[in-house]
Amino acid sequence: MSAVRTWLRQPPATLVSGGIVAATVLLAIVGPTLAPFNPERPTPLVLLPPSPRHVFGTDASGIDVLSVALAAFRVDVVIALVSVGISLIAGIMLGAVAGYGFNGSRLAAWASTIILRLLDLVQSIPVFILALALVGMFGQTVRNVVIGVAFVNLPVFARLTRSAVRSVEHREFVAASRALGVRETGILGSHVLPNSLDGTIAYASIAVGGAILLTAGLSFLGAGVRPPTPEWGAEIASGAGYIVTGQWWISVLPGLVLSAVVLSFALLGDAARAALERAGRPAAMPGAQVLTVPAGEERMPA
Amino acid sequence: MTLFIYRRLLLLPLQAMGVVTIVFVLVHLLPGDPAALMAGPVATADQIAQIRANLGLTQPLPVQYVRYVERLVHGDLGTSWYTSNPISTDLAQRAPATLELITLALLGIICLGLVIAGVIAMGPRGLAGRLIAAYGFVAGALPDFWVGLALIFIFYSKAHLGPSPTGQLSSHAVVSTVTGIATIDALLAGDFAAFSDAVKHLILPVATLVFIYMGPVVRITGVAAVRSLNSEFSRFAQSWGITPWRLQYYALRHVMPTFVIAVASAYGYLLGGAVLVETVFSWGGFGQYAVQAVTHADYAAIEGFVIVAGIFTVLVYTVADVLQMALDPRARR
Amino acid sequence: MSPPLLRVENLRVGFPDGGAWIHPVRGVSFEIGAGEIIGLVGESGSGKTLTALSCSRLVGPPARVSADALRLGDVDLLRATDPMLRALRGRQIGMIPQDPLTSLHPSLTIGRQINDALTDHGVRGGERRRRALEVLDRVGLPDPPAILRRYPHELSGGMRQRATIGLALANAPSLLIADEPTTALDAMIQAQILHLLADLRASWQTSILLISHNLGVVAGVCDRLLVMYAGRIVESGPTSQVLAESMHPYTRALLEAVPRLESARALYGIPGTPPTPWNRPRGCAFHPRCAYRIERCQVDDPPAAVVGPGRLAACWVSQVRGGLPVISPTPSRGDGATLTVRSIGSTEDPLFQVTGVTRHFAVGPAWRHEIVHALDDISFDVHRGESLGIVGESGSGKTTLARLLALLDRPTHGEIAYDGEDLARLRGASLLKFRRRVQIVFQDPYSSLDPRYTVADAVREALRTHRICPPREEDAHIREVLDKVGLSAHFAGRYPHELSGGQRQRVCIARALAVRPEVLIADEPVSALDVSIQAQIVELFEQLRRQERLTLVVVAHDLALIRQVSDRVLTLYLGKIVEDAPAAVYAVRPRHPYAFALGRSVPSVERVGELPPILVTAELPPATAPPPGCRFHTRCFNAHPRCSRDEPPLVGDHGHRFACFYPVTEEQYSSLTPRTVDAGVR
Repeated sequence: MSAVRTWLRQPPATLVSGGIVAATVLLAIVGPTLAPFNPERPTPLVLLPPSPRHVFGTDASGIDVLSVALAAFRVDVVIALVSVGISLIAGIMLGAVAGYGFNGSRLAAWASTIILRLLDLVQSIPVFILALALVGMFGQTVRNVVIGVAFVNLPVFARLTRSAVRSVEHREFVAASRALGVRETGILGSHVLPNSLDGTIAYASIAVGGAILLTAGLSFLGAGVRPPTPEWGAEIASGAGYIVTGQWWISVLPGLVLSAVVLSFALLGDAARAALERAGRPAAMPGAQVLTVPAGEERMPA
Repeated sequence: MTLFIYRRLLLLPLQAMGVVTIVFVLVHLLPGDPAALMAGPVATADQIAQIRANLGLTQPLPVQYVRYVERLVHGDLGTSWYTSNPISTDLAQRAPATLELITLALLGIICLGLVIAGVIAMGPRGLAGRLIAAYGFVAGALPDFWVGLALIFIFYSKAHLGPSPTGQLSSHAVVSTVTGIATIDALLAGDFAAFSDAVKHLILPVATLVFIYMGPVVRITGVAAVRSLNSEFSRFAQSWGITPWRLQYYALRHVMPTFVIAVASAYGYLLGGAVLVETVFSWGGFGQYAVQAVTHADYAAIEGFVIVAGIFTVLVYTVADVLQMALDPRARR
Repeated sequence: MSPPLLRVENLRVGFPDGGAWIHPVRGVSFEIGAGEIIGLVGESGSGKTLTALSCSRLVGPPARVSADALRLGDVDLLRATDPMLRALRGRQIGMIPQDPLTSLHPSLTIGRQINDALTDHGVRGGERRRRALEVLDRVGLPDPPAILRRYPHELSGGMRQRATIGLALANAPSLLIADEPTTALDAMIQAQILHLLADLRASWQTSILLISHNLGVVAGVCDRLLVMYAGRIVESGPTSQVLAESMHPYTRALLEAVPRLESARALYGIPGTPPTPWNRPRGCAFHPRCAYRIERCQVDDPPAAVVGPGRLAACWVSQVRGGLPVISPTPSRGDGATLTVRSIGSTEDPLFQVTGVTRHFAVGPAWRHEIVHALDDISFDVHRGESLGIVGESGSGKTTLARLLALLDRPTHGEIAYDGEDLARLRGASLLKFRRRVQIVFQDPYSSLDPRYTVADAVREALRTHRICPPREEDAHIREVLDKVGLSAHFAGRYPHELSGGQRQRVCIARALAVRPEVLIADEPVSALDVSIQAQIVELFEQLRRQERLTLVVVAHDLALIRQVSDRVLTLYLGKIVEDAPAAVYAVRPRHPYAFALGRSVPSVERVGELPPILVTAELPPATAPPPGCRFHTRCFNAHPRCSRDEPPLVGDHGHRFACFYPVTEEQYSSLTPRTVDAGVR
């Protein structure tokens, strides 16, 4: 509830980015129906520059670029939302297990160590390369793009949740509930997690933008969503060869749409983080933390 | 300190083993016969049987794993069905071009990043500080491949500056390959025209990478610099009459460990970004090889690429950790 | 008298807040003469730190500083340019920060930072090293050349604060502003730092503005006191007079609220909470909490007026009547103040039996971890109905002990039994039953309430966990426990961030009481609260003990507080019990040299112009490597060779045990006394 109240007191820039994000989600639902032309059927009208009839021009197959850009909302935004949704939920679960000590349980300590080492391993391969390899190996389908993008994002969500859970667990209200005899799972569910998820959820917005970039990047290489399915990265790739000869619109205009969408998701996430900070609940976010905990902070029973 | 470095270096083989293990697991998670996948779509039954024997696929998994690691230790990454070369040869041939690209981009990020962090430390709330903050945000939202294309459009198609933006050298400039790095090869050959041509080819891809991947570095460093300036040690230093430039130095010095880590993770991302940017500029390096492997279902090549990229990243992080220890005395124990 | 070194007249500091301005400091005036030590006392939010920062013009935008005069010697600080101010800072006016760890640059050596301070004031090469060594020696650091090479985190808290003072003194400023310089330190280190400040004045004629919330600290060293409340100085004058015959009700009330080691007496908290700059009452800012208020106080803000030689007070009552009338202070709750009930619990009926309890922690990475000896082989009983105090410095293991008793942690070895049952064996229903019978209240009321739970929800969680009552009676129960802790029913719907620190601590106590426990463990229950609020909570504990027949276990570093609330006191040192004594004995004649030194190191408002003696100078050994034999022998004034070999057992009788071969002698009780402060040349 307090989150809603905080939202209503936002500066205009936040409301604007929130508006674009809302519009984006709406376009993901109705985008294809708004497309003035069929985004998949080639026509003889190839490489037409932008005009009132074809606002974004047409590409080398004679397809209206604006129609592709609009129809692609459904593909890119849905892939991003679904994959971030998966990594958010899985990340929170993994992070909660890795972060919460269950009052010094040995089992929890082991689980935590194993999860952390696994995350380390996954994170030692650069995100884009891992996604490319996953999609390359398992096959270039939309489903595999979703799984690949979700998999590479998972470690960040798990780590964010873990560090938040750890810091909340050491607050005294957790010890107070423990001393009252509340069960550990109850403490985790009713005290620790609700106080740990602010930053993770704020970051999810930024991650949606990142997932769109990743999807478009894979498709740009021909390793993601394949033509004729309308997709931003693939459309940019289809125009790449024409840039040098001056037919800029095929790549540049869909790229602008893509960038605006990614930027507004990032702004929204940052606004959420700033709002949390103002509300006195600073959220751990990659990029916001200054120095990590000095060595020797980890404590384990002898 | 030295003890720490030794200990950190001991960790390195473990991390490399981790990368190898992940790839091994992924390959075995693949649906279908790994041997058939490795052999490629045009292989004969004999070739497949040969590979199966090579990989020891008939043996239990732990044995396969040990043999797999043995092969890797001997530098055997398998053979690409598409280029029909050993993958280690393919990668070694292409790696220098990519290393040149991302190392130059990294140097650009370090130099510019430090300057920019200094500007932020001078006046985070001034116009310059705000512009930089906005840049940090926008850079993170732009697709690198698109920025590369946009730069080509502006500087080549419109302004007609420089040579055609494909490859490391124009077709008329030919130098014999020694290192695989066009600029150095040109210098070794004493061909200054080719050198200047190679440098011109470098400008746009490096600029693309710097523009995109400096964004997070600037953002993280900027936030840290502002915090340093508002921190208690800055206030105490002011109370003993510190000069403004030294106050700025103190803030920057405080931010250095963060900066090192931010740059190191940028290096990791650069490797991924290079895959896309190389494709835009037909660079012919490591990244483009990976794309070609993916589009041609060249499993052995993908596998080799991921292992090399992962080990490279682990190396970079190790260097960053050691540097961070050197910069932050609290981290040395 | 020579012209004052620093003259502040009508200083105001404002911050923009929405469209308006708020003024955390509004009209502060004072002077500091050469070689004078002035104490500035006030609770958090009174504006004392802003006042201090304004004196060296360190308050930057968006804040606005204005004054009728702000002069340091001949310099008008308000008109001084930035380069002029930089030249002054460090050389004319230096500051000592509260927390030395965050105030030093973490990645530069001490030597480098002192060197930089000297360089920035134009001191030349070879001279810099000489001066750095000299100043480190001056602040009493052993082996200055080695200290120069150290990083801040490599020094102990006390040494770090000395290094910070050394840095502030590097350019020999004539005025030092010390903002809570000892608050982050333990009592024995605090005494050393206070001595250092007094010595600086005596030998270098340094003037000092000492800011503190602790009246005992300022009483010992300060010539004059300034008492600050809600952004104004409400009373000023010579220390002894201000403390003995306060002319402002706030000063008097503060003195009534401070527990004293020498004597247990009733404490009187100041009702209500200090105002913030946003909700300052009309008229005198103190009038809603004032027992002396007259009608005029609610309308007009009294100006500071002369009420005696060198004395000013901003109070209508004392100005009209020439002093404050003697009236017995009103306790913060209406049920009358009564003296603490002292009842030593029956030794036949132990509730907790702690036998040979050891708690070790491993710190550092697994392959080369060190063992922290938090507690080593501790045995004692807690009897039904008694109030047991546990004191010790940081690192003594007292919090670990509290957590073990509350079963939030388990011992490495040894056994804790409650009412005859081994805690290690409790499972399921019997564990839940123990949880109901033993409750704990924590130090930090800001983190001990879930920010997403209302007061009622927090209490309800306790009720539901133990099925104290059927759901429809919950609201009545919640009202009842809130009333017990002095909160009215309308607090039930509030969230923690809407409450003050004292109110939160009351909610925490209410939550604990809701399950009708037998034992209440309190871990530093008031150390995060302002002095005037601390007394309210202490009062509440005493009252609860009477009414609820609670057994109390109070853990604290504040000896006077422990003395106030306990019947019996355990003194811990590096994980060992060194003394177990009745509170009255412990306060005056502890036998163990550590307990004695700790008690003597506490500055007291009753000893104006006297500093606690320094009985211990050596550093606290690390808990990872406690000394062999008696753990205190490395710092003990009575140590014999035997002490480093054999460990003294904890023995004694008549409820008084101590672990020492050579306890404090009769002669030492009279010879090791507080030292009178050298007033310097005036």
